[in-house]
Amino acid sequence: MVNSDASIVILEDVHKSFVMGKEAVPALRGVSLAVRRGEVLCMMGPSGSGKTTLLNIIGGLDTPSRGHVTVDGANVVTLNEEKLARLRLTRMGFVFQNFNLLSSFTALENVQVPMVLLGNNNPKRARELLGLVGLSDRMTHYPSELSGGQQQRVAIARAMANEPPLIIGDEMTGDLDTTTSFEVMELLVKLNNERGTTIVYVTHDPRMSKFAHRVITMRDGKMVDDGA
Amino acid sequence: MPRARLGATQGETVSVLGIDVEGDTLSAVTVSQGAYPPGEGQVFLTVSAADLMRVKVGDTVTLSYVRPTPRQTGRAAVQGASTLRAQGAFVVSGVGFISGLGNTLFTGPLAQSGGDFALMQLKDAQAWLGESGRAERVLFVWNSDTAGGVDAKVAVSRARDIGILVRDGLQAQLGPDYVVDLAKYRQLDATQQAFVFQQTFITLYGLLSMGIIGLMVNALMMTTVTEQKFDLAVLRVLGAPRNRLYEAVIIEVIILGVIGVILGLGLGRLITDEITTPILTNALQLPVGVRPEWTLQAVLLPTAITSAVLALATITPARTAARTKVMIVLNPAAADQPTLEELSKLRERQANYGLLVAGIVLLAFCSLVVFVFPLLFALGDFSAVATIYFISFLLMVIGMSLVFLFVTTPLERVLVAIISVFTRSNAFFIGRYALRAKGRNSLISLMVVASAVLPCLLAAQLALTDANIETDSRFNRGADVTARPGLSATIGGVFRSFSRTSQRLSSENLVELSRQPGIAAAVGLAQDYRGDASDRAQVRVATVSVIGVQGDLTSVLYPDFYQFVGGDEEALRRIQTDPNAAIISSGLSDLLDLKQGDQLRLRGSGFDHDRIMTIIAVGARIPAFNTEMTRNRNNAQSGQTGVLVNLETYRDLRWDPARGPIDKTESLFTRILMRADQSVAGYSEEGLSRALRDVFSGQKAISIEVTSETVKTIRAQLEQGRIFTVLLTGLSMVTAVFGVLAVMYTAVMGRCTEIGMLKAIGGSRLSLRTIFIGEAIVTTLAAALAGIIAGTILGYIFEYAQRFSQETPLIWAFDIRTAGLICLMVTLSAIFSAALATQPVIRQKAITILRDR
Repeated sequence: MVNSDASIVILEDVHKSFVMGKEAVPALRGVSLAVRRGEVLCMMGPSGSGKTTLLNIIGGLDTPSRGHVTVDGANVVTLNEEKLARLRLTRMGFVFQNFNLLSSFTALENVQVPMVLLGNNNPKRARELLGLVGLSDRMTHYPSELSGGQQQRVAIARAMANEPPLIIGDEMTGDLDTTTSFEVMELLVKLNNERGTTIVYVTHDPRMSKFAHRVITMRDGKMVDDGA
Repeated sequence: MPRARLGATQGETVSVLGIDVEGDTLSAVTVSQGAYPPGEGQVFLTVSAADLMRVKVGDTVTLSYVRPTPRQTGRAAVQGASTLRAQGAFVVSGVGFISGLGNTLFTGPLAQSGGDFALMQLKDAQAWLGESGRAERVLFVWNSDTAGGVDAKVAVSRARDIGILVRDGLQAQLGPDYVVDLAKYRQLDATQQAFVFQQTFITLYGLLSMGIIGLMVNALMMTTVTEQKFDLAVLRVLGAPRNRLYEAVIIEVIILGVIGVILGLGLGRLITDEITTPILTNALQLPVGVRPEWTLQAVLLPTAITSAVLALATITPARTAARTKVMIVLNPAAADQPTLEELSKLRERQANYGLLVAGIVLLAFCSLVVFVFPLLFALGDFSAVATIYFISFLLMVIGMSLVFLFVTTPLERVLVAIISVFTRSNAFFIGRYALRAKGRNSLISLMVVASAVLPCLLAAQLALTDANIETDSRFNRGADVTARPGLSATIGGVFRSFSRTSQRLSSENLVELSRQPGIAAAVGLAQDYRGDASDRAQVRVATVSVIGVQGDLTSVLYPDFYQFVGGDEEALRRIQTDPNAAIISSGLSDLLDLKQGDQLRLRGSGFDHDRIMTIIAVGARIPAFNTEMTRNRNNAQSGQTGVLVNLETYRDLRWDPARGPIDKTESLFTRILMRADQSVAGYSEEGLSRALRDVFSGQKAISIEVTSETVKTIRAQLEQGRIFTVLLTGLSMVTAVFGVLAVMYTAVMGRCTEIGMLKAIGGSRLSLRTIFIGEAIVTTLAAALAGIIAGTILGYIFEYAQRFSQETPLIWAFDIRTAGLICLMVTLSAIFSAALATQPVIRQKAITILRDR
């Protein structure tokens, strides 16, 4: 039995299948996993191994076909779409491979977006977060005026906006060069050290896995190495 | 081919129509009580006639008619001769409403008693009047195959030829008493220009609407091309030439265009036949069966306009498709980056097409003013003049739309500020999306602004007209009641008619009118003498209209419009007693450089016939003399200004001394102004008007105009204008609504990733929907407000310019109904469009949206 107080994410026998035409293609085949609070967890594996699917289920973006998922005490499987949205807004931060910043919003406004959605807009805090990621001088720049690394820093600041206990990253460094990738990862580790934020991320790059406390390996929808 | 034979006459209280009820297929009778047609010895009464005579079905009415005094052609009737009276008793067979033939007949000069008609069989009318076997009129209905057509000029010429043949035939058989009256074609001839004007207006309005449709098509096709960018790039990789991609877009639009045109024409025809024609037939009391023709021109014109608009709208998307880069397949991230070749091209000095277009527009505008207008006026082609006029008008509307597009941004800020009072979080997104989505929202704004300008222009003019009807009527008429000689009135006779020869009213008329119950005061005005006015040395000379006044003008004129540059209204009293006093206009005063107290030389009729007058007042504005008494110096220069003098002075001026002693009995008045005495017991405007007309409009042939009645009539006409404006607004906004829908749809499609991301980080469906609807409302409502402001300002400018030149006062007004309708329609369309466009995306899972993109 997994200790739910110590673990922020608990997955028990999670299955997920996608329907492709008339066939059901399994993406996850009975994955069980516990992520401890304050842990930096890296998921690796070849393409089609199910790591992104697993990440999406942890993030409440997708629902499992079978199994139990608990995130910060909430049973994700039983929540409806709106409650899942609320959970993501308050308990999680997301960092995507292609940044997904709002193009007509400045860096500062992009960081404010989750705060505004929560009804708790705090420009001062947004400025502090941008300062934390080293973009104090780029606050009024639009995404198109920022480099890839800078955009990803804005995305990290945005993920931190509502001070979530969990940050989920999907191929965060996939579109970045090596130097910038290291900078981004170092920044995340710094946040983890300073704030105790749990970080779960997916990467293809073995060099990026070195920043994690634990690395799990997926293959054919199963966790073949839990990194313990 | 004769369809109906009928005879008509004028009774003292009702108009009587003897009609061949068997042959009449043109009258439409609605029976309220009893039966129609009347039998032998019976009459059928209109509801108002029955009410007037207080009779019901089965009662007997006695109809009495005084036949006009016979006279020789070209000579006045003998005065004091005895008259013949026809009298008969008839039983009321039924009561109801008459439209069609009967109504048409009695809306002419014989319609002295409004809608009070009595219908009887033709043979009864003949027996009653002792004119057996005769009828006053024979009506013909053209065979539409020979007299139809959409060219009014041709139709009129053809009708005239047929009319002459018919007249010759009739006169050969029945004698010279019979003439042919082509009332419809006379009216058609007279209204042809108005018709052409309206037709051109509608065509150009269609062009404006199609322009908006063009913007919509352009937006949709651009979205389609963007969405299919990858597929197009694959085709390029596989070796498809650029022109193949270009053709693909063009062919798609051609197919859509052909389907659209066929559907549009079919739907247009259906609406015309099943909705518009029945409504107009009913409203205008047209004979049943009148249908607009389905001509080649009616098909070709909209097809040509649609084709041109679609072709123009498709060029950019087709070119974009043709320029698709193969890099999109190989490396999408790098595809949008400019290549070195493109960067080098940017450094090249290239022709500025914007400046070229601006130059062409400027040149076209100057050419219109300097060459085209004078040329067209010289050629006298009214269709071309109307077309150019409306193109200028259209360009002005578009120009105004573009100018006021500028206002949409501050208006959007205001709306966002208002929204932020209620919901700060949504205002955060709405403000940024609305104000920063340049291309997309500018397109919506432009469509809505352009759609709102024209209806608001018309609405503003209508509102101003409506608000000023009373002022205008009071100012133009000057007094409660005006009597004029019935110049155009024909005194009804059964088989004879003659026009009144006298074009002036006499002093007896003035006295008689002033003694009528309900009339407090009357003043006679004589105004058909024009002479030269000058300073004493005759250095400056202007032709003026001399106005002779008998009576105290201040006792009849509305006092609230006087404006004197020198003197005051006391001068209007003094003029009736001082034969050497004159009141001149401010414009004339400027022109002649004469002021109050100076001497004015007025030239009378004949040689050496001058009078030196003292200017006792200079009027800038006097009611009832809106042309004659103004500040307008041009009016004075062109001889439109007036000089008010005593009636005896006027009589002296217009009388050539060579004719001997002045005939002091000559009738001089061209109009008599009266003030109603509202203190009389039981006073009502309708009662006074009816009483005056009963006494003066018949044999005396004096037309009576009651100002308050005029106001009501114009108001009723304006109501029709309002309906037109509401319809136009509806049509304009329908186009805009579809435009907003299309643009919002394309906008949402282009922002799926953003929606997915917002959903991923926790945005709820409600908040996302609110954001998009809010953005659409802010954009469209701001544009609608800008359009309303632009249209209203344009309407005000038109109206003010017109009134400025006429020197008439103006009460400002605003048509809240049209503006409200526009705001309501765009708001609803924004809500509907945004909800409809976002729904399919928002209801998807965030991961589905992000994965698909």
